[in-house]
Amino acid sequence: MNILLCCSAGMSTSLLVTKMQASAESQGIDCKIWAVGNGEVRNHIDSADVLLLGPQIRFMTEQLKKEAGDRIPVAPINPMHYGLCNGEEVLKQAISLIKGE
Amino acid sequence: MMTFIEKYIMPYAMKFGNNRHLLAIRDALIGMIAITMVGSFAVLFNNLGEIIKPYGRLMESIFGESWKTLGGDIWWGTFAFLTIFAVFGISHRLAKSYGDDGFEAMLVAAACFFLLIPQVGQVPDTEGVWGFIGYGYFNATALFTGIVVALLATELFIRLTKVKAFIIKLPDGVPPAVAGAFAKLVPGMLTIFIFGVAGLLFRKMTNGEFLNDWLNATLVAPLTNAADSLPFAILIVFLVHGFWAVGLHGPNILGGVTTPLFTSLGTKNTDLYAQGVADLDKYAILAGPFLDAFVYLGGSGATLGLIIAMFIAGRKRHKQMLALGTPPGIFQINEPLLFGLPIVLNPIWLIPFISAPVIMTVVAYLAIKWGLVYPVVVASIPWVTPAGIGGYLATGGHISGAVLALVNLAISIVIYLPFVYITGKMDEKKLKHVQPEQTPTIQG
Repeated sequence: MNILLCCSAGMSTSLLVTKMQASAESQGIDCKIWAVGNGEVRNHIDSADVLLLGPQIRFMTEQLKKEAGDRIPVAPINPMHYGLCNGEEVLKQAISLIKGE
Repeated sequence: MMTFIEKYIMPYAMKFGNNRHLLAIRDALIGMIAITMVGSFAVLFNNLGEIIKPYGRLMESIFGESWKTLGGDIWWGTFAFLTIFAVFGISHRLAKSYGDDGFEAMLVAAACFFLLIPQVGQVPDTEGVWGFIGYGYFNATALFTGIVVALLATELFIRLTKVKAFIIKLPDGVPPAVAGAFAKLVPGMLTIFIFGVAGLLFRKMTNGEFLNDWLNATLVAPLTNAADSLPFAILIVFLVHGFWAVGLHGPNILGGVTTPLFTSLGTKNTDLYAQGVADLDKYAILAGPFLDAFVYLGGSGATLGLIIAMFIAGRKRHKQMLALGTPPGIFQINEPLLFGLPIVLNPIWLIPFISAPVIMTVVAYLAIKWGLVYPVVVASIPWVTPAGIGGYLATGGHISGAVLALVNLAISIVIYLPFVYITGKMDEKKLKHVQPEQTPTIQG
């Protein structure tokens, strides 16, 4: 599973990446999680299975959906989970999006 | 409240934040940060000797009389040609947003920009010499002209590549790379030709005035003058935090407008500084990293002040938030705090969140205007530079810059403190109300 996170500069989402990785490891889930800024997200869409957006750039959801085509799900992260860096919940969201739930 | 935002604010944020032209400008200028930073620091290192005399003497004793050559060369390679990089970057980014690979577009746009520059250079004591160009056509002075030409040329080029009649079909055996270059041959030629004719017609109509010169005079001066004013500074800061109030990344959305203005004013200051101009009134105030260095301390909303206020008045209550928000907060990253506390959509927290940065902007602007603090002379510093250090670096190593940042930090603490106290009282009250109902469930 390849989970791509995106925010303005890829800084605050990278805080979340660490937490998500820890959560994935403890559950024995094998996945790659990484974060980028919205300037370079286009170059990463192709290698991702899901794209999650920081809530502060959720105004870009529609545009990025278009860029991703129908290939992968694109969704903003719940602001509360984002703010509290709740890696477990965000990982859950990513997995359920990939499974198409 | 949420539906109101989704319905009335999101569409505007979307329009503004997703406008491909503004995005191309912003991304290109942000992509140039390596160039603007190394240029800024080269100027800084060369001129630090004026302020810190022992530093100048030390450098001279190690590297000899010509110790400033390297810094000068770097300035020449970066700042003196700033607009060129912008033209390349913007047209590349814009063409990419249309699904083009951007390479030919970038070269064609650069050609269009160059052909609009006068071929006769003004050299003192002569009537002008053919074949010489002053660097004023390439440095930050020409930035807005470069932006306009890059956008127009790229638009034209991309539109022409979509016209089927212009695509030269090669036989099937030709490698795709070759065929690709040929496909854009006619659109590229036409774009350059049209710009050439337009430039020529413009000169005929205006008795020899060049389009670039004219654009510079009619666009740049009024734009940058309007941008470097206190009302504009307050407006921008207010809008940035208004967007954040509803959970949208304000600086990101407005970046298409603010980045070129601040970059242009910042590089103007760096150029003045490099020339050793001592008259501080000539420097722009709202330039370069002004907001990052003096206002966004801890991030948008000056939330470093909030963190410190929490340490003072709500350490126990906000234990988790402080643990989560302090380390990134030192490096001006505050999303955990904005969404975690949360400040976003919270009417009480939004009062200090918006008022603190506005007041700090006024203080910083006036402090520089009145000459109490040295102006920003560095075009860019990373926005993650911690509070205080940012102020010191931005002003070219003046302690007054660090002091201003710290005074502003103190102001933000004072503004946030009562709100930390009030929300604490409110939480206590709520807890008392809820507790009788909740106790059984906790026991069960």
